[in-house]
Amino acid sequence: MILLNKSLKAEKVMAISSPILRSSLVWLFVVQIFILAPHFFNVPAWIAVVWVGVVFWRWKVFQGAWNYPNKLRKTLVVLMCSAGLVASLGVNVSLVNMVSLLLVAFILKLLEMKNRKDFVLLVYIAFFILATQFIVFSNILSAFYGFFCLALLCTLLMQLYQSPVSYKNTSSHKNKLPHKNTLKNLWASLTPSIFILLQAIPFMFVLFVVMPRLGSFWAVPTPQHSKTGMSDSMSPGDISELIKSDELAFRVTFNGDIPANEKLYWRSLVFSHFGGRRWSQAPQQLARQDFKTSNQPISGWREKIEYLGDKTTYNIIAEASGQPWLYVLAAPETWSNDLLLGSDLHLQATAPVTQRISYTLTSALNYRFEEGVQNAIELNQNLQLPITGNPETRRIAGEWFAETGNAEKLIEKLFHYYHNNFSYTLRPPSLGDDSVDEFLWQSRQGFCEHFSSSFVFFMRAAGIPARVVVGYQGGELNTVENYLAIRQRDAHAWAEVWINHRGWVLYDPTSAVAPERIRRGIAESLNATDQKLLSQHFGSSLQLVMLMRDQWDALNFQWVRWVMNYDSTLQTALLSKFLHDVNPLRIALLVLGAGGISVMLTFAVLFFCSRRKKISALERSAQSVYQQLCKKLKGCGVAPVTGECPRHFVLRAATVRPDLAPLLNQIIDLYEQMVYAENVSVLMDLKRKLANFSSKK
Amino acid sequence: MSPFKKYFHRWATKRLPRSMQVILRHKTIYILPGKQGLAFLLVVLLIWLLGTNYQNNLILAFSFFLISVMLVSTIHAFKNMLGVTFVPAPTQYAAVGDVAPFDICISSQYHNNHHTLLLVVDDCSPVQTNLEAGQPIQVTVGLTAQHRGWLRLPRITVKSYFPFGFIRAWAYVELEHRALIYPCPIACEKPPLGAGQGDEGNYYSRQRGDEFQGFQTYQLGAPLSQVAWKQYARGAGMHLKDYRAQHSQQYWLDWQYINAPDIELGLSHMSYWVNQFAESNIEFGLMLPNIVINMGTGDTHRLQALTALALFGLAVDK
Repeated sequence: MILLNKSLKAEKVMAISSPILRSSLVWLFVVQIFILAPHFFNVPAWIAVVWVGVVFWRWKVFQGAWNYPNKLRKTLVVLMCSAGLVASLGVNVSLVNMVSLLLVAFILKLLEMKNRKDFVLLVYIAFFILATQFIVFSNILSAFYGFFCLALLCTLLMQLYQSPVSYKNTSSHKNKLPHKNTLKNLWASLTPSIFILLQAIPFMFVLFVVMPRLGSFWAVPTPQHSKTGMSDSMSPGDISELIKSDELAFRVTFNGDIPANEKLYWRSLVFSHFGGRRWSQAPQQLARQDFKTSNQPISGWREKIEYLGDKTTYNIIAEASGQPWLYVLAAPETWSNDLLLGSDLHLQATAPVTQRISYTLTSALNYRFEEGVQNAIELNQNLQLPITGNPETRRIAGEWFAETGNAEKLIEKLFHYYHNNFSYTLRPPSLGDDSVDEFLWQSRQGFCEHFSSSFVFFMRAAGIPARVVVGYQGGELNTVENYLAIRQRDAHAWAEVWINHRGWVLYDPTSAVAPERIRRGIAESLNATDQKLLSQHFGSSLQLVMLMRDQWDALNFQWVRWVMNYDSTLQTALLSKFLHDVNPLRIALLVLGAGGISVMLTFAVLFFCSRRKKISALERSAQSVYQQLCKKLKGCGVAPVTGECPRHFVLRAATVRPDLAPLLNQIIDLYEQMVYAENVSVLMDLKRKLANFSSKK
Repeated sequence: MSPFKKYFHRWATKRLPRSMQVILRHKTIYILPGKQGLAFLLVVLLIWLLGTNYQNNLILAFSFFLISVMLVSTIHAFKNMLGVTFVPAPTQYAAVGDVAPFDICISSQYHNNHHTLLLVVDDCSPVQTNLEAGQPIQVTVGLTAQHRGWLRLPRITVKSYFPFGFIRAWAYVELEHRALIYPCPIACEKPPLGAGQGDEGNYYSRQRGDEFQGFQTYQLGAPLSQVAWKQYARGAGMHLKDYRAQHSQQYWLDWQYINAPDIELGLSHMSYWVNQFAESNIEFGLMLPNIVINMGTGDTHRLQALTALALFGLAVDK
């Protein structure tokens, strides 16, 4: 009864040792491009040339033109690549070296790929290489890119285990259009792969939230990060270079209100040593014994900090800078335990920051810090000046100090002088050897580093301890998520002056010249020509574009905050919110429950997509009639045999019970009319006859 | 076979008795990670180590994602097998020493594709097949016939590595399916004919009847040499030239006249002559001690004769 598809579809099995199909090979090459591409930002470019060569070779092998490399050639190729690696990267254990080695192995393996087993191995290596790219690229876009690459890899695997698309319409042209069929096959594997990946997302999410986070098992080579942001010294022109960059330095979220812009002085480094042109840290500022962690008992210089007024708690997510120093609002009371605070109130990590880090601080923006009362060495350091140079400034500083009598009045006079005679510009004229003299008394144009540098020099020349502080000032508010984004363009330099009975006091000479810089940010404080030097965003004048940029930035921030910085602390907090009491049993239950639900959902989707075969009403009633007949004939000891058609069966029954033969003949005639001629009108008749039929004698 | 495997097979057999129709259901589908799946788990472990050592959540998420993909693929592997129905097709015949074909109809209870189902029987080369939505297919599993009589189809293992090869889903199919194995035809000089039959050489020369009788409509499987190509070229469609034997000769193949040292060889000779006569379209009958098959020609007749030879002296089951 079943109409069989006549063509026998049994094919010889694709055993694990069977050769690789053309479509799989081409697809593998394409996927390799996507897997390798992100790595070429870091690894030497000649690896790409090796890839092209190997692909060409492998393709020739596939075409049968060339052979697989023999042992000698293989060794030669490996030696050449190793030599290339040593020549371009040197011999050391760094991340780039490791990744390059892996990539070269991955590429050369193509020349050894003979059967499906090798093919699968290659795909597995590709999984690992895909994972390594996230060491360097970890933003939200690279996550999407990773998903895309994973879909491609899964397609590669699925191609091995999926039936080729049937060519119902093109079977006669099968040989003419291999490309078209290849593409069709790819598409047939790509869509279910993506479908499966999407179904896997909920469970991954659960695992991500629940799986315990462990610390590193062993030290690994970290990615080399080019140094960005504040450098360890400052000379004229450094900061004005820095502010041309729009690169993100860090993001801050405050618990509570965001303080006013003019209070946001993010300290990075404090410079106490002046070399005539360059400001840098004094040796004792680098001494480790002065650094304190937050949980150390308060002693030494920390006793001298007096916190006044409200405290604010804030979380900073700092981008990788390649430098150890971080950002802090003076004066911090507590800070994350793995960070160190110097006696000049600058915060730093124990090693250069090569990956994004997050830390939380509590600071009192009003404070009194009298360190130095007993520390003559430090005060002397902050009076240090080169023996010669800038004679004019030294002379005038002495005169003015004699004139005003105390530090505060002197500062007031100097600020007044700045306010009336100076202009704030990104393009100051270049300065000669006596840079402070030239700036103060001749050019009178400059940027924050000129103002802070000349101010501190002037103070020291007048005999007042002072030092330069560099960092960032202000920040851009993201209205979507209510956080501040501080970019390199917010880089700033200011000063601290030691005043008797008040301790270290912050003075910002730039505010005397360009008060809007402090209140409203860099972009507002520059004139039109200078603004062009700042990197401009595309369409920054359009409201909508700006809003979208804010949204995008906010999304990235959420990504960093909830995905990249999700650690055991956040995990405990989150889980205890859901489970109240975090214990292994509850976590196991959560995993099982969530896993079960996602499995059931997947199953439901699958079943919805493939309902039972549709059976027409006619077929269904025919089946039920036939079943009734069989049941009744069972009474006379006749049962249908598999493969027996209804008529044959009924005639067989008729030979057993000749008395029923006429009625059976009628029934089978009607039945065949209904089923084969699709004549529904006989159904009633048939049912009636069947009802009267009885196998009893 | 290890004791565990033995135990497992016995257990699996109990769950799935031999029957005329086997539908793969949740009770009969087994799923475990295959070798490739274990290798994949190793890769995932490496990626997890990488993520932990670098304290990189994206890499960790990637490793969790891969595990989830493996988990979801078990569901797809299961769905790929679920509802596949195996029904034996009509019995086939083969000579001893030949490959006995077992035709099996495979269909699905659901409207979805079933990819790369591998049918493995003992140590025969496996058969791979794909089942497309709504299209039942027929596959042939070949088994080398060793003995005369009924050859039962042993248990088939149906395997699938769909979708990614991580997961091995398999099921055992015990079909009530058999093939008739007739004695291997062995040539001998003279057919075992009763006295007074057959002129010398007559039965050799006639490859087929040589008198042209007319045309028959073409039927699948008819020898191409019989196709009326001229008519086909004229566009009249495929027809067969019908030849009939000129003289209606009749022969009785009689067991009594078999001259062979043992029964098996005798049966082989009989089988040879049955085939010879059938191919030459000569009418023949068969006389065995237990059964007499009347004169006849055609494939049905030939099979009847071969069946009698195949089952000669064997306890007839069913």
